[in-house]
Amino acid sequence: MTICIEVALKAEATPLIEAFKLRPLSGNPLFPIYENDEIKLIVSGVGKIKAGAACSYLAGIHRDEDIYGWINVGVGGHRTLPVGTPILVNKVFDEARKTQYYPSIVFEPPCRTEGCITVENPEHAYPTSNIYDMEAAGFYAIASKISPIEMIHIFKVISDNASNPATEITKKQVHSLIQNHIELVRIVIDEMHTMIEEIAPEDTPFLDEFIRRWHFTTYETLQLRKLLQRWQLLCPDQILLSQALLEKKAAKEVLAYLRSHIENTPLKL
Amino acid sequence: MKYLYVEESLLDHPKTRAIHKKTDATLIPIQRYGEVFNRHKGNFRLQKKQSALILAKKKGKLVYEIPPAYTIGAKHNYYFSHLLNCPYDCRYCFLQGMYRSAHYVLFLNYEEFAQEIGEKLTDEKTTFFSGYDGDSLALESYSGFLDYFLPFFAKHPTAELELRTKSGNIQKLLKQEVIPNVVIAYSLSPAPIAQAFELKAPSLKQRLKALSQLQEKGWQIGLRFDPLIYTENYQEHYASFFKEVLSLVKNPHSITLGTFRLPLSTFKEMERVKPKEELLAICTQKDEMMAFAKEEEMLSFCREHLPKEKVYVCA
Repeated sequence: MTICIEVALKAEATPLIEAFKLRPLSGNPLFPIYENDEIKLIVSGVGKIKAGAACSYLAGIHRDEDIYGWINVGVGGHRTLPVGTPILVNKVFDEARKTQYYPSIVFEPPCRTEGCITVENPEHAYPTSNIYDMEAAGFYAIASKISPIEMIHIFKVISDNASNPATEITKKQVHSLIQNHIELVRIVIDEMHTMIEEIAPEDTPFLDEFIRRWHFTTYETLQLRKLLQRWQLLCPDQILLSQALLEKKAAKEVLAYLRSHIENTPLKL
Repeated sequence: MKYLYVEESLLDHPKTRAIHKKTDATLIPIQRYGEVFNRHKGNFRLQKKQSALILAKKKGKLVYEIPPAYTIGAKHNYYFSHLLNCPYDCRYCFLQGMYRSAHYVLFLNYEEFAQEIGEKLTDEKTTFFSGYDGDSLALESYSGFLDYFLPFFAKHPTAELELRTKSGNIQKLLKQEVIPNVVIAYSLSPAPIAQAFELKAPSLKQRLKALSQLQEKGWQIGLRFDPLIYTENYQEHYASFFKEVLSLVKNPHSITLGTFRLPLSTFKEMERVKPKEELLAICTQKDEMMAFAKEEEMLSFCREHLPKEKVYVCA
């Protein structure tokens, strides 16, 4: 039940690596990757193409794991908002492709929300009242192909504005801008973990036991898995491997027995 | 409501301004409502945690024919949806499997709905159902649906309007003159079932109070016992419940009856977003539908307790 963080710069990554106690992935990955049991962080480099590529790469090398959510953390510019303002993005506009995306924020946002325009080159004039960044659109386009849209978020900290140009930002400043808002990132990730519990499938107890006792075809195993999940939901306190069931000779009879029991179980109030 | 998505063409609509003022939500302009609603990879259950309101204009067909089996007496039957989704969170609601979004979509082009309804009218009685894809009254404070459509139906006596609801939002109906061709149809379940399955909806007691007030005022009342839920001791629950409701509503306009059922594709999507829903776990496949194995038994039991001449069974 993993959540992936994508950042563009090492300076954005370091405070997150420290806060979540992430370890570097061994081997020789194409992008730097850090992880613990619940979080994976990838450093994409600057630009929406690299951001999208990094998401694809991370999903690809972890395809056997349950990736449930994504968050892009980084800095961005805004015409008037003070440097250090944290923002959760509610709309992303890809300036080059003229397409837009709408992150679905279904929890109480821990900070203000704003629109974000992803540009190909650094924006110094801030012509609209949106945030300007260089990754969000590439990140969102790919992440939304992989995970539920409610589990994809973009968190930005304002690093530059009309009075504090982007050209003067140092790595150290970027590090502290992110570090100052680690708790907000943690809140968003906690919200995502809460949502995972709601959408994660029910366990399948006794599946191995059944497969050892009877021979199920692949299709029958799928049916068995579903029926065992239903049993677990409806009557977890009842004896599953009862004498009546153990007397069944064929897998088909087992499935029919389980199905009949489940479908005739009235709901408890 | 935290977010209000508005199609760009409606940003200056008076209703948009009024709703924005009322909600104080963050307004996010969109081009078409499909950019936000029912997107691929959307999850109804997660969106239900904080549904947004989307203001849009419905294009294409606006009024749909209904199969004759779903009539409440008229020969011609149609439904139209000015609103998609509902603030209540009934565990059985088919909208959870129909849409990948729990956001409310309010279509503001009422004039075009009315025009298309007008085109369907004949000299024969025709029923128009308004609460298939959302509760007809629950979001009235935003939609102003009654303000527009009650005068419209008042002018067309062969057109019958069904307002299907669980809402106690009836102040406008109590204040205005009764329109004989408007039926207020209450969806009702026995109190313990309502409590367990109709989350965030008014209690049975509140709904009965609302329909009593409407009945007293002179409005026609419909009773909707659909879906019936297969629970332990369902016979006891439903028998006493029917007795209570019928003692209150002695002459209902119509009664509809149906057990919980879903088309297979809707069921599968609902199961995907609600993997731990017990109600789905006891269903069995019957052709292209998923329903209770005890469907027939329940229907036949319930019919015995209701006045036959008023009952329409939806199966």
